Amino acid sequence: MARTPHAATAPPGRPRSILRTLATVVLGIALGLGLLRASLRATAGSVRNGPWQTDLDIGSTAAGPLTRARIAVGGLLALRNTEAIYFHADADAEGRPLDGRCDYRVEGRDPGSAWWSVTLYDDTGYLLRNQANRWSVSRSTVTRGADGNFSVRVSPSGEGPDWLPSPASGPFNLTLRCYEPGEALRADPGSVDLPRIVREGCR
Amino acid sequence: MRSLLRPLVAVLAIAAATWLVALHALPLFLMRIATSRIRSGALAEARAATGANGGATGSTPSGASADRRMDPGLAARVLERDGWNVALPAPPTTSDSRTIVRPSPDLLYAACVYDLAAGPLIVRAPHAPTYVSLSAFAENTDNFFAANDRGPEGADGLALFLVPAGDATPAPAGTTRVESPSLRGIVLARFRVDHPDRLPELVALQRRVTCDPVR
Repeated sequence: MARTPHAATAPPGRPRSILRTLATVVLGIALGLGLLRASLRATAGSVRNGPWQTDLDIGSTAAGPLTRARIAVGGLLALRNTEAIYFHADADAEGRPLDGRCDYRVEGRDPGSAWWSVTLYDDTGYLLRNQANRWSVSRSTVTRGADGNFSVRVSPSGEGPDWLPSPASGPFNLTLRCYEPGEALRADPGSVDLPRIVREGCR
Repeated sequence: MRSLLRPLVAVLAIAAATWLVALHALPLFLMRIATSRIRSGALAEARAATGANGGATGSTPSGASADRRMDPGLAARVLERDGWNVALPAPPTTSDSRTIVRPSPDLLYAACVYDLAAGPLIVRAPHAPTYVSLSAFAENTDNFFAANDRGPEGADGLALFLVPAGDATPAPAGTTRVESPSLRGIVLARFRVDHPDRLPELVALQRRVTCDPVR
């Protein structure tokens, strides 16, 4: 107890250098973990297509450590791109974060895979509790017009097959799963035609 | 100046080392968490199922809950193998599914948490009218194998002969031989639920997934 004031006046001795080493190590580890968190959050993938992001080496043994870590955190047990390509979006077509206080339309056509689904997750990566017990729309359930286009409404309230319930407030995100992706989708996921996420209005 | 520079360089060096080690350790760590969550969930269900057999029947829950109770044969295998090397059908995905992040509500999953220390395993999934895939993940999360039943060879279902790296056991007829880069990992079967009406039929198929030691 009496050591502290004493050490302050004494020349740098052992207790002081131990303290300094300890502070250096703690600071270094904290900084390293902070950087890791930041680098995992910086992006959801190296390939961008509008608001959608993906990585072609998800699940691949050739994946770099950053991709592998990002997938382990956000999509553990994701399939490699021969089986499925996963696109992630947490912003609308204009880059504004997806927000429960706003309504959106997800519209477009089949993205060039045998099957697809769009699933809504909360910001912890789990499905949102809602009265309709509905968490996704898919190629099997969506209504398509004569031109092949679909339009899904993302809103806290709605009905019918083309409605995806969103939270009344707070952030959320969408995952587009493209199962058995076609050649074009696998070759260049950044430039294929993916559904647009259009903000309609906010409360 | 010098007295400030040295600790600063030390902090940055430790930060870089921490970043690198944590980055490489994170997938292994999260895979271990997933493995232990799947196993402990199955063990708890198995204990509940076998406990109920010998316990009071007066507290048997309603039909719906009883239906979700683990099959006694499966419960016995789970307990015998301590949750390893056994196919575990997961309940249909809902907002209550919290074992693995970003579960798909359009898929029915069956997982086999494996340990090849005792030798090869055979994992089988039946053909499904919608889509079924078998995929295998090493302990560092790498998806080193994936196959689905959409091609002609999937008409009889999928059969994976999973061996530890360097194991020379020949594959039994009709199975695909795959070496796992790590002794431990997870094999996952995915069944597509394209319509809720199909769920009972697909749950029956999901329960036919097997994961068993060869010997």
